[in-house]
Amino acid sequence: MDVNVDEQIQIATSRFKEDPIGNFTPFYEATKRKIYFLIYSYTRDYAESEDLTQETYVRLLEDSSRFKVQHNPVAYLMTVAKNLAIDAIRKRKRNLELDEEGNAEVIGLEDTAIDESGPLLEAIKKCLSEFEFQVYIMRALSDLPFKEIAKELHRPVGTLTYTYSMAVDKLQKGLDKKWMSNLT
Amino acid sequence: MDEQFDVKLKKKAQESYEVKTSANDVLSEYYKRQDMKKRHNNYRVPFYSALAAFGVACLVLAIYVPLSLRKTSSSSSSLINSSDFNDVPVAPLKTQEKALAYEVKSLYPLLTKAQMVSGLSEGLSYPKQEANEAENEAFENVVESYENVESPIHQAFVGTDLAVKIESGSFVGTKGTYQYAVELDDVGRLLYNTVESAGVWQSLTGELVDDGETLYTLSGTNKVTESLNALSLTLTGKEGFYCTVEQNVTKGQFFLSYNVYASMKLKLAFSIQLQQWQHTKPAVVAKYYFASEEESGSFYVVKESDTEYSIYGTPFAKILLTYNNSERTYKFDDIVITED
Repeated sequence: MDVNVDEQIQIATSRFKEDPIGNFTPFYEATKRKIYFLIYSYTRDYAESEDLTQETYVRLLEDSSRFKVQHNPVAYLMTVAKNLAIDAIRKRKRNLELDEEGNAEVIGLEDTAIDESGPLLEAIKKCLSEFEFQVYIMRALSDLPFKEIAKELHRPVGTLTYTYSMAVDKLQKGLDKKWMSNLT
Repeated sequence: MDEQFDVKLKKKAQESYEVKTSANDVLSEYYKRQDMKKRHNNYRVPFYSALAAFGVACLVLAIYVPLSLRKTSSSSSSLINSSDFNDVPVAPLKTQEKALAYEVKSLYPLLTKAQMVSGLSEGLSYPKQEANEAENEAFENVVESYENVESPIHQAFVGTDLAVKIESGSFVGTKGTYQYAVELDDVGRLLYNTVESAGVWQSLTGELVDDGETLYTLSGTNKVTESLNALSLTLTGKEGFYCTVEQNVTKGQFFLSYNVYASMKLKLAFSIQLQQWQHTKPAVVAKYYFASEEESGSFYVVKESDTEYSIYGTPFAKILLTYNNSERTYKFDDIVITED
């Protein structure tokens, strides 16, 4: 993780613990990308990730006097974010199962997000397998160390570093020329 | 992997999407929900206070009674009787070195958990199957409380039989030079000095190092009585995080009380007593108090086998806790929560 980002998070976290409401904005600004992209790595849906990010932070504020939050707000955020994301995926799957039974239309199937604000991410998504994309997003955008990704995904660190390296190689070979011209 | 490409792509990808939800959006939603809660309460308090109290009583009974009466899979009784718990006949930590190693090992996870800033330390807690929502939430709360004291409880069951190998010499730490060193599995290397009287420690100081870095500093005193010594330790981390453990031999052969502090404020206090259930099975009685929530309670834990434990003393008649390496599965009928 970038040292400056890490330091920013530590400082913002210390202040947040002292006054969760008064110091919420700098804490949110320091941590929002980590949380947003952690959620996105599961949902792969921009709009849904925005909603879940908001819900995650609202729950943090609601629980700000609780032991877990007081001790480690970032860990609490990540746990809630992950649980909300997994919950959202489960809801989608239930909706999809209903559709297979012919009872309802497909709602929220992955990869259905249409959001022009992230075309590079869409291009990256197309180049990688689901697992590679999740590892790439967690490492490159959510800024999680491999050790933490290993805990998240229950995979050995070696597998994840290899997967990430393979993903970058794939992207170098597979990304469209319009992106590559800016990157090489 | 082309690292230059990786760095450039990462930067470009990070710039390609800006999170649209603002801090104000979150705060607005938070205030909105707080207002709704207040309004909800205001309507009811003056006129329906008696009715509300009755409602709460009904709700408690509606959750507690069925939970207490629900059948569980084990053959053991699902109702707890505290008189079934007796003190262990002999103290398991027979030497001051073992007490030191044990207490440092039990403080270490408490402090690391308390002061970790980033990372998913809390593990995934998610019910695998849907059940009644109130019951699920109540179960999650019980598991959440238990998880905060799980590591010292589990250690009381499995960690008292320590093989402690003390090295003697001159060991350099970052805070000083120490006469003794001991390797503690899963923790690091403990360097320490003691002040002794007739071979019995009076006090000690030290530091816990890993890869040449000082993780925590240690200080301790030893209360010497006629029959037993009671070692009290403080393990100190950064930014006002520290934990204390105190052995109290007047309360039992193995009775330890812990305090966890963050930003110099007490966050959690709990005690653990190793006991026997009906003189047959190892058991631990843990009493806890969460300072920020002013919540207190007890867990009565009985070891059923090397990997299975029964937890009593909660609204759930009996919770089955199963260990699979570091993964812990809490089960009550069809509600399951896994933590790691």
